Amino acid sequence: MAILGGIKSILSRSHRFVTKSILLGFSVIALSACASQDKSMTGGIADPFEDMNRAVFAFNEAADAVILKPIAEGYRFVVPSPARKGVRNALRNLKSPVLLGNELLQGDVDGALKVMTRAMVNSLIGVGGLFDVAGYEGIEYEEEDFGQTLAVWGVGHGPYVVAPLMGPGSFRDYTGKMVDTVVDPLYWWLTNTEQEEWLLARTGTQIVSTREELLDVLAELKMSAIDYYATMRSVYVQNRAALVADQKKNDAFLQDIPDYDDDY
Amino acid sequence: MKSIFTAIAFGVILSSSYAFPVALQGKAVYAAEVNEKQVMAFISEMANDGLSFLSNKELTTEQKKARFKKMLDTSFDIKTIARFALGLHWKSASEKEKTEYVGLFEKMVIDVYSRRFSEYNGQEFEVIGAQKRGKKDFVVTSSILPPEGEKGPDVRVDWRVRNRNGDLRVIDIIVEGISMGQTQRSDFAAVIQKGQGEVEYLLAELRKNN
Repeated sequence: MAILGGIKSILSRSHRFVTKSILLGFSVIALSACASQDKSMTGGIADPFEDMNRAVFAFNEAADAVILKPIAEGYRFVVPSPARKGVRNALRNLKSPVLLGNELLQGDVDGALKVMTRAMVNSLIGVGGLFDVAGYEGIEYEEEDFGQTLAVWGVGHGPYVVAPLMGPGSFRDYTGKMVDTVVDPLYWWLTNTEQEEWLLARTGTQIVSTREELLDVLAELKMSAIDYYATMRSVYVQNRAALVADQKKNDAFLQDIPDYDDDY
Repeated sequence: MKSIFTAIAFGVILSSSYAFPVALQGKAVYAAEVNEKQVMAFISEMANDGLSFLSNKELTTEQKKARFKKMLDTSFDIKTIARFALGLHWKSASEKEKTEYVGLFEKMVIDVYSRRFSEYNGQEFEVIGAQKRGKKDFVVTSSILPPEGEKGPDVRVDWRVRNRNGDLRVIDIIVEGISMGQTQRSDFAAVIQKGQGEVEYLLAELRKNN
């Protein structure tokens, strides 16, 4: 009973804030619809702030080279692979409430059931989420967020944005990130019990863990690209499209390649 | 009488331009109509051939490079891939630029992939399925599995295969949802834009790597 009461009070307090942020998000997206540009030349997304984005991108690259990348490399060097996997699993497990909400909002009942099964199995048998027992049994993790939910609802990206220290995104996806943060029960519980340092710890761990996972991919991408900024922009858009289509299930997100037979 | 003659002539032209060169290159020859199973077999054979030279420790990097180039020439449609990557700029390029571009593009692909030869340490390859896309294309879904006994995520790789009268060729590789063709196209578009729309500017960049 006490738990229910707690949840109720959290919900009522969060309600106003959430509504506000969602409204803010939508007005941002509505605004972004006004910005038009030829997307075919910019990897399928409008990039009206390209000059600014390129500057921030260069800044992020520099900061990454001196701070984040060395930390991620150190993390890889010091922490053995199974432990890093455990960290990744635990972080994913903590996301379960947000994943569940988004699956439901996307009308993906099957996905929602999977999230619930994963959370239960991994929390109980997988020692608090350290082991991905469910994944091993074939119920695999699927990345969901409110940006994807908006996409499922038919909201476009809006302009491409490279945020300082946060990297590539779009108006839509950054709005989604904001919403995901403020509706996360864990966020509310930790803020209400004045344990914000755990939020910071979680975010920090998430950043390092993700960067470590991407060490090789990004190095390879950077080495083979002539214009790394444009390459990243394209990869961002494609990756998001694949996530929205839940790529494990279908390949509808793939773009066609014209037949050049006639006029070589 | 005339129509029979035309039919025979047509048949000769078809078989000489498609079947013979293909047969000489040691690739399976398919009928003009192929099904999902055949396309899956095509990818599976090509990948196994690739893995066999990658895992052959007696080959030098140069020899592996040569094998890789042969694989590109027989099983990939480099010209379509290159042309797609150049996007709308293909039309504005001169014949001379086009020829040089396709050559540089192929060289770049070989360089990029051969850098990664040494990373291979026993990963396994598995074809999962195939789906028809449009008139001539198939998308073959496959998985790259971590080496036996090791744990790690499977990497999903999709192959877009185009069928031209039984001549099957890969025209795009999609790794975890990221199309190599689309990515290359965006990269090149940005480079050419920086060069005020001149294809020559991209050629100069590509020449740098030689």
